[in-house]
Amino acid sequence: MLFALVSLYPLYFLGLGLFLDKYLFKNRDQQSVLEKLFWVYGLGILFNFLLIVASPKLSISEILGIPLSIIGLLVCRDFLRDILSTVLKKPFNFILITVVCGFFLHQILVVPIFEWDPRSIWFFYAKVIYHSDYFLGMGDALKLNAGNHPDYPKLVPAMAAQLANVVGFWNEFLPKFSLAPIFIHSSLGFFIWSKEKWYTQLTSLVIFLSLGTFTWNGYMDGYVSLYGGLFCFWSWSLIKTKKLSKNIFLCAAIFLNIKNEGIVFSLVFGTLLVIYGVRHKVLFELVKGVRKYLLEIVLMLLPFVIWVVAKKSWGFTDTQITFDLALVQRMIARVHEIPFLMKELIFIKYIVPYIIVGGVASLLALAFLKLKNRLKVNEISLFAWVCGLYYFGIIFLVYLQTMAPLRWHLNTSANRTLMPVLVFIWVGTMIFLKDLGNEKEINNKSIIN
Amino acid sequence: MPQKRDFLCKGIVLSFLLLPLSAHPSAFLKKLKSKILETTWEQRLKNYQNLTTPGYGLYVIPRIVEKAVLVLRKHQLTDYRYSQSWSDDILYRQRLHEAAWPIKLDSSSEHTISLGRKGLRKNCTVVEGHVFDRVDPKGKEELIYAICPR
Repeated sequence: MLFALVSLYPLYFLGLGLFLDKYLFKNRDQQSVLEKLFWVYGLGILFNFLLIVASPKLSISEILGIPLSIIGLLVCRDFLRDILSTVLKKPFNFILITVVCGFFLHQILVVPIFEWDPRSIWFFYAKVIYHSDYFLGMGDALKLNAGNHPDYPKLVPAMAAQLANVVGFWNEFLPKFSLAPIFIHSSLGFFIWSKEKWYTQLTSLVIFLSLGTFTWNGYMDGYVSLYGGLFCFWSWSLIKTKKLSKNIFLCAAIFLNIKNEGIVFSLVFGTLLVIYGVRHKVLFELVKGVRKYLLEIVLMLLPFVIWVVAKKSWGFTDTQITFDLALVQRMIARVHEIPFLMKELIFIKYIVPYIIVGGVASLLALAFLKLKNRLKVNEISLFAWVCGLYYFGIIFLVYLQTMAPLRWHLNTSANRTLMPVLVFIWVGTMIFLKDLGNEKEINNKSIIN
Repeated sequence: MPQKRDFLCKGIVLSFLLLPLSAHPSAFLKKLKSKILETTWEQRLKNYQNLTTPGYGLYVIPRIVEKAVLVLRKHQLTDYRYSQSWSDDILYRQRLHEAAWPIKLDSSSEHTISLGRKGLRKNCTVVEGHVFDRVDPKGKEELIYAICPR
């Protein structure tokens, strides 16, 4: 019975998102079924987080959320039917995706919380929220655990605490199932961008497999990278077609609420979108989109804003980096270690072969495009790659100024901090493959349908 | 021409799938297997059967820490402190802090968890002691729960 209840958990977010989209945002846009599914599901995740953050008790968030979700599912039956008919159009695809997703969900469920960060950061804070029974009531507990990044965003910990609250106990397995909605949602995003061709689908699968254990062990680095990758896709689509999708704001709101790297993403994507926006005359489209979707954006960013205000009031800051003279001195003192740092970041870590292979594949596709001159390859196609290199530059500088011993810092974190670079490079590869394989579609107004 | 393009796309995808395989096939497959099957099938089955068991899964932390948590719970404590010897082991210190929650770490508490009797103050009364085998470095280690009035 309890297990059946937990199995329905991912569906809860769909209902919540459908309710919100129908009654608050009034279905303002024409979107494809899958794009709308991505939108409402993400909206459900963020709205549920808002309910948790704003409720004085976890149980109140459930009392409010569950009926809204059921209403959403009942009222939007037509949309559910649309999803079913879309799925049944390609049953083989559906079976394949179910098998692949089933494997990852199985891993999420049967592998306990045993890695260092998931235990001492993500699911420890989930436990704290669960026992406090009040999201904003964990300030004192955070101070007790000041060495373990209490400033990190709490989307997944809040969901895990809520799940534990629903079942009424804590163990080392069930709360981790809070990763399932995030996994389902991000994989749906990648499916949307790769569904036309089997080789782009395979590339998506390679992305998920190269993240490997990080999709199920409870670390957030894989998921924050996936949402960064999805943001890349929608940004590229905006620059290319000059059509804005509100999913771009959804991805940004989610990665901001997953991990502090989301703030770095905002810097990377923000500057690049301004530069690309000016060069390709889409900045106006972006500003118009912000105005059009202001209500949605405010609602989606509200939990993040509340969290930032709360942690400031508890005395925690967003970053452990202070920009002062000492930082410059540390960087200068490490100049002689730059070759070592580059070697470590580029050649040693286990994740890097995937980046290199993805990069080689990208370059091959790009070279072919350029040689045959079939498509006008410009900086638009390179958007994801530029994001990857920009992010790599930031990571490089972070290591160069680290206060911790460089080797220790690299050994304990480089394979995770490089994950966004991996995903961006592979997204770049997918963009090249899409350009190469879908010449006709590129020329159409819409890249995805 | 479209067929040629399609063929090239397929070639690119297949080549980057085959590259890591072709470099070190056995190492690649071994690594893949160890990553995916880091939990044995027997353990998976047990985990499935206990998914809805409250408190299940503490086997992932060191046995001595698990026992320390059980001791704290058995005595229905709300706070505890640990001795210097326990604190010196980062793994034990951190795992106890997480697993014992909501029993809080409080440096002014008289309930003390210690690794061995060395370092305990003279006025401490040992309530429980449990000996465990240690893997690295090999040997014995003792969990002590003592009450040490301030």
